[in-house]
Amino acid sequence: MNAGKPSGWGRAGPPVFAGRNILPRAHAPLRTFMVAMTVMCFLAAMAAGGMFMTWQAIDNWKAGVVSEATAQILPLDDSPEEVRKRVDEVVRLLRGTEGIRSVRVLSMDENRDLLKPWLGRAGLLDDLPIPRLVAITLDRKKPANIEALDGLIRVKVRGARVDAHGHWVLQLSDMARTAGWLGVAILAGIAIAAAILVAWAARAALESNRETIEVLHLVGARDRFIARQVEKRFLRAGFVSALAGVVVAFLIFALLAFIAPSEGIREGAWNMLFGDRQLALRTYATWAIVVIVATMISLASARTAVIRILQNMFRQG
Amino acid sequence: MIRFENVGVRYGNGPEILRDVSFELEEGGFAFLTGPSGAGKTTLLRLMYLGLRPTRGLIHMFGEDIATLPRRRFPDMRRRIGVVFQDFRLLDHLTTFENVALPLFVDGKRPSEYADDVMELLAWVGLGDHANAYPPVLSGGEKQRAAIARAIVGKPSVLLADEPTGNVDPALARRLLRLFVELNRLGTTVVIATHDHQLLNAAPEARIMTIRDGRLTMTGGSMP
Repeated sequence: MNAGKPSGWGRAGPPVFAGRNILPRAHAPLRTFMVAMTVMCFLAAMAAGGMFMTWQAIDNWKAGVVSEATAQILPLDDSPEEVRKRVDEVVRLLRGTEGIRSVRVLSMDENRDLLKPWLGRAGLLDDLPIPRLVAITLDRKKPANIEALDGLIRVKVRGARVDAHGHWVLQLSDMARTAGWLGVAILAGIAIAAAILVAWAARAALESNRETIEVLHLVGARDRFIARQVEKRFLRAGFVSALAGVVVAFLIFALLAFIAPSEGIREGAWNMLFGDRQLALRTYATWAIVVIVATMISLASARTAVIRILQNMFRQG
Repeated sequence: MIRFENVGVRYGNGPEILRDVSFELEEGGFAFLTGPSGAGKTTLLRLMYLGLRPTRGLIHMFGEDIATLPRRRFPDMRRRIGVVFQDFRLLDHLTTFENVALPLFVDGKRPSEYADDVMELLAWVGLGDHANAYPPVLSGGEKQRAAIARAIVGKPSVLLADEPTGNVDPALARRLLRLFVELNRLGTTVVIATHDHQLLNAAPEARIMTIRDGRLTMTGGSMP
């Protein structure tokens, strides 16, 4: 019998099942699953990136605050000349102390500017005995002992003291820690929501393939064969979708690194992606975990669903 | 080859669809399964192609008691049974060729091993020119023939067909019947569930299995 061959056959044989999965490549429920997966992985990657940026900003800010202190010299009833002498003495003592990187005396204008928000611009400021301030920048690696320095200054210079902003630093540090954990909680929330949604979408996509699975089953396919087909389809679809979500998140952060209106965000995004090696590694590793975990969840959900479908196929009436 | 002993089927808590069904089909037999709509023909076929587990009774297929058969051996058993479903159950995303070749593909055979055989079979059922067509563009009769080709491509020991002429004109129905008779001559046991009395008359030597109110009676033919 001369049957002839379908057109399109090459020398290598018919293009049947060639490199193909037996499940439909793209149908509405699978596309829905892929969109859900992309969106959830995008959100998870954005949350993770946002959290790292926040942590980095908090670290920088805390380091800045902790490395600063202020020496304050009250005018008492001294003449300006005597006050200046006391200020010079404080500066001399500070410069002779280890663990201090720089010392800068704030001008009277700068002092007035600091008080303006509370006292206004009226001539009142000229009549008040405004203390002189000396900004101290500590060596971050080996900072001076502020308490000891304060004791020394108090003894050596009348009306002078050193304040390390300890009270504020403590409160702000608490707030920063809370913000950091809030970021973790948001990421965890998004991750859990993503896992649930992806699992549901995977099951829905597979349920829509029930007929194909039944036919495969009835023409003698082994459970292992069907499960492998399902896993291959969901591994590919899940991985591609998750990767797409993370790549979009990367592009958004990259865009922020170049064109964000705030310099802090630009710097944070740049450091997170390219600048700070350790931070970048941590970010990329987290994003890789998002892709892997999301793919595994979709795979596990699809596998569970296909096993349930197969087990129900030969059941009692 | 197929032996049923006091088989009963009940869906959930409903009434028994099949009651005390007992019969035996020997190798190379030809039987029609008939009876009014809703009498249980499709249920009986489902039992025979291992798509349903009976509520009670014993079913022996190819010498094995299916109640004690491990699940992993079911695929081997199913490959010995070709089924033509009433609704064809072709996969719309596969070509006619791929649909027909499906039982061979899932059996792990390579396309190069079976391509010529499948094409020959497609030509035999009159679908040689539709190998690359997808089921949605086939007519009812063409789908029916593709479903038959898929059922017999693996050279099964038993062919079960549920209303295989339900969607075709009388001429094509006779042609399909000739195809079944030809398969039977080649050694395949054939069971056809049908309402079509003309089909029954066209094969007078066939055994008639009649289901009425869930009970089976057998008449005619040369089978025991």
